[in-house]
Formats: sequence, C-alpha cells, structure tokens
Amino acid sequence: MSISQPGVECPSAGYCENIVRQVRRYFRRPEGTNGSAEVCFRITKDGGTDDIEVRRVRGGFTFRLAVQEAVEQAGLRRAFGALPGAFGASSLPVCVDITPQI
Amino acid sequence: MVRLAFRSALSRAFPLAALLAATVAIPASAQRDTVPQAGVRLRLTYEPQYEPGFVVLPFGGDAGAAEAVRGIVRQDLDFSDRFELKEPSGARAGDEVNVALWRERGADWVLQGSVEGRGGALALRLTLHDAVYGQVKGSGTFDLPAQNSRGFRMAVHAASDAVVRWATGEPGMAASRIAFVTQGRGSKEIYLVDSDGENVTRVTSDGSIALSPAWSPDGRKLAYTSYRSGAPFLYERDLGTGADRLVSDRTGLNITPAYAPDGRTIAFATTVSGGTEIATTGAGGLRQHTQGRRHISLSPTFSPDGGRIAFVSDRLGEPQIYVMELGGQPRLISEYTYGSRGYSTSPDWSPTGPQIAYHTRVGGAHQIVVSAADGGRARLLTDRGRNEDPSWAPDGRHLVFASPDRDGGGLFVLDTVSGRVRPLVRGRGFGLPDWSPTLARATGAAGGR
Repeated sequence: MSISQPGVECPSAGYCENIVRQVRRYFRRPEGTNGSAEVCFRITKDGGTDDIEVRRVRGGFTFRLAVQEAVEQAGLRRAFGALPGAFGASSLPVCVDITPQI
Repeated sequence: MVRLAFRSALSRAFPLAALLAATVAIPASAQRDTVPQAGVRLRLTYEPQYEPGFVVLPFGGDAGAAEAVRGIVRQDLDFSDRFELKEPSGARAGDEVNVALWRERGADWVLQGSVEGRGGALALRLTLHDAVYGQVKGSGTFDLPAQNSRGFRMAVHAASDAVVRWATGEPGMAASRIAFVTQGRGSKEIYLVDSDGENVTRVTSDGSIALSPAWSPDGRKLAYTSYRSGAPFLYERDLGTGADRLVSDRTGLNITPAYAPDGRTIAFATTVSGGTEIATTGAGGLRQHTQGRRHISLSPTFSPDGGRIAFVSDRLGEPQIYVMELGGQPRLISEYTYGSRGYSTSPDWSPTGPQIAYHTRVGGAHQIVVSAADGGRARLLTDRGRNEDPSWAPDGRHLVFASPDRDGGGLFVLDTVSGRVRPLVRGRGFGLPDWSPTLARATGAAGGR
C-alpha cells in the first residue's frame, strides 16, 4: 500500500490505511478479470461516501461495477469511520488506484 | 417442490448501471464540480489468484444424512476451485450463526444447512451468508431422494451448484458426468463417472470397440461409434431406456460425433469420395460441410450458438485445428509454421464462450492448450507427461483430459484459472472423455433476498 497526498492531508496515517483496507474488504474481483481502475470519491463527516467516480477502467463493465460497489458498500456501512473532529474540512477527497498484484 | 431464494448479481447490477448512466448524463462542467480533483491518493493492489474463504458449518437435522450431505457439498465447493475452504472449528450443528466471528476468521462466505426427513425423502435447507457484506446472499430448500437411492448424490450436486451461483453468479459443474472409453482385452467400452469421481457406471457391453462418446445438450443421450456390426457405425444411446438408434451406417467411417445445440443435428466425420469429411445428419438429411479433397477432416465441435464448428484437418500435411461458419471457409487457428511438423487435434469448444481447447505436440509430447476461436496465441495449460483429449465442463472453466502417464495414468480435471489438476479416474487405458452438460438443476420460486 502506498499513500501520496497532493494538496490534502490525511487526517492520520491510520485513517488512510483503513480506507485502503475497507475498499479491499468490500472489493469482489469479478472472476476472470484482472482489471485496474482509479476510483475517486469524497468521505463525508459521518464516514459516508459521495461523488463516486470510477475512471481509467481496464477490465470491462463488470470490473467497473465491482470497484464502484466496493466503495458504495464501505460508505453505506460507515466502514471508513467519521472524519476526526480535528480535521478542518467538511469532506475528504480520495482517489484509490486499484491494480492487480504482479 | 423446491423453494429457492437468490439475490442475483444481475439484480444488483441494474441499479448500479442506472447510477452509472446518470453519472454519464451529467454535463462535463457539473462533473468537474463534483469529482474530487485533488486529494489523498492511495494505492491498492489485489491478488489476482485470491480465493475467498468459505466455511461450511456442520449441518443440523437428521444426523447421518446431514453429515453425508455436508461432505458432498463441501467437496463440491472445494472441487469448484473458486474458494479456500476453511474448517468450522468449534461450531456445532444448530448453533446461531455468528457471521462477524467467521469474518474475523477469514471467511467471506458461511454456509448453513440442515437436512430433515420428508416422507421417504429428504429436504435440504441451505442459507449462504455473505460475511463481508453481512447479509444473506441466497437460501433455498431442495428435495433430495433417500440417502441410498439413485439420484441422491446428483441432487446434492445440484444444490452445490446453486450455492456456487449464489456466491459467484457463475455456473457450477458438480451436477454433471463424464463419459469415457476404457481399453479392455480386445475391446473398448464406454463408461460414465460423476464429476467428483464417484458412481462409475458402464454404458456399452458389446465386447467390441466403442469410441468417441458425445453428450446431447439435454444430457439424456450419447452419440458414439461402435464396431459391433463389423464396421464403424454411428449410434445414439438413450440413457434413460438403454435403447440404441442407428444414426449412420454409411460405407467407410462414421466417427467423432458432436451434437449441435439444437439437440437434433449431429456432426460427424464420414467417408466421401475416398476422403474423410465433416457432415451433419438431422431433419434435412445428410449435409457435407468440408471439401478436403482426399484429406482428412474430423472431430467437429460446435460453438455455443451452433453457427460455427471447429474441427481437425490435415490439409496442410499435419493435423491442425480449423474454425468455420457452417457453409463458410475454414480458417486455421492452431499455431502453424510452414515447413515444421505441427500436430494439433481433439478440439472442444467451450460451452460458455469463444475458447477452444485441444491438444498439441510440444517437445514430442501432447499437451493441453486453449486458444481463442478467432485464433491468436494458444495458452499452454499442461507441461508434464502426455495429456490428451480435453473436454470442457459446463462451467466453461474446468477441463477433463486423459493422460497415460501422469501419476500412473487416468482421467484428470484441470482448473484453467488456477492450473490445479486433480485425478478423476486413475489407471491405464482410459481415454476420449466427454463432459456432460449440467444434468440436474435446483429450481424453484424466489422467496428471499
């Protein structure tokens, strides 16, 4: 797992590690696809998600759906956790690159 | 009566598809406002070969039958090669399912089951819990015949296939059988075996040579060649009644049959003007499809839509694999280098897509390869010993093949995704396997999530 933060700070390293962990947890790779994609979304104050967009998809429509559903499910279950009170902004913009292990 | 509840992947896909369509409909300027342009960038890598953890809990109800059914289901799920089976340590039949606990122990899926007597038969109730999403993914009640009766194992296999479909949205292959040929003393006979290697049964007892069994699309008939009348004639065996129908007794060869998806047309190789050509026999009589001009064309196999066939021809000097539309021109798809001695034969078209498995000579030994139906580089699937005559399972993922020397010889099942190989029937003299379509389905009315 690698983290880079152009412009916006992670509330904490642990918070961002948990984002990756939760997307991985809810991501179900469609059988027979080794796709890749970038999924961008906002984590709202209460830990929900907004403005999910899947970009640069390789692996077809089913892979796109699987990536989108992973973020949707994590958000619905507030799996990312609420943004820390000390975090100044009202939401946290995040992009996650999803690629197969080589 | 079978009751079944299944929340399909498709039903989930439609709202998502609508959401995606809505996203596309937003003007570009609006999208710029809503999509995060800068923010935390993270990277996630996933394991392409990841197999989700699967726990089959002890089944409740009739203790003897429950354990037997659970054992078959668990093995079917293992043989599906789609899951990492985990032991349900500490769990007891009838315990309330603690999905979160199993999730902590690495299970993505938790299967709960019970078996109850119903008259002289049994009722199997299954519930599949999605431990990641914390919801029931599918549930159903399946009728089973009595434990020692014919059809018991196949009915359990059908339930296993329903579980595979709940979890993956893909077809299973447990409720299927493989026909094959055994070499006896001076004879070859046709046998059947279940997909898990159980229930070996004999089909022919002619004391003659029987070859090339091929399943009909409904799984009720086998076409095959037999020399019992002195020449290689083509027959069709009704597996329910045991009756044979003569399909072709043309002078010369009548070999390597394959059913078209319509179940009525049979393609086979037969002698025409001194050559061996692909022909079909059906409602319209005999139709010749190849013009090999004294070359050999044989081993036809239909595409799932019935519009194309793959077959073997030696028109370039050595056997190679060709694909053609019915009535069209054949196109070479196996790898061929001018002047080199290639050898590719025994094609089988996948029931689920445009892939053709066949065996080809690599370093002097036959190996199993898969190629796209429109050609392209073949993918080598075996590299140890001699491996021949691949045939696709109904899931379009597994292949059965024959090997005279792998682990003492026999028939083997290959998972084309993971590369795993398991023995199906061990011993020498087994060959020409043909995997059936799905033979039993668990059907019923939807009644849950």
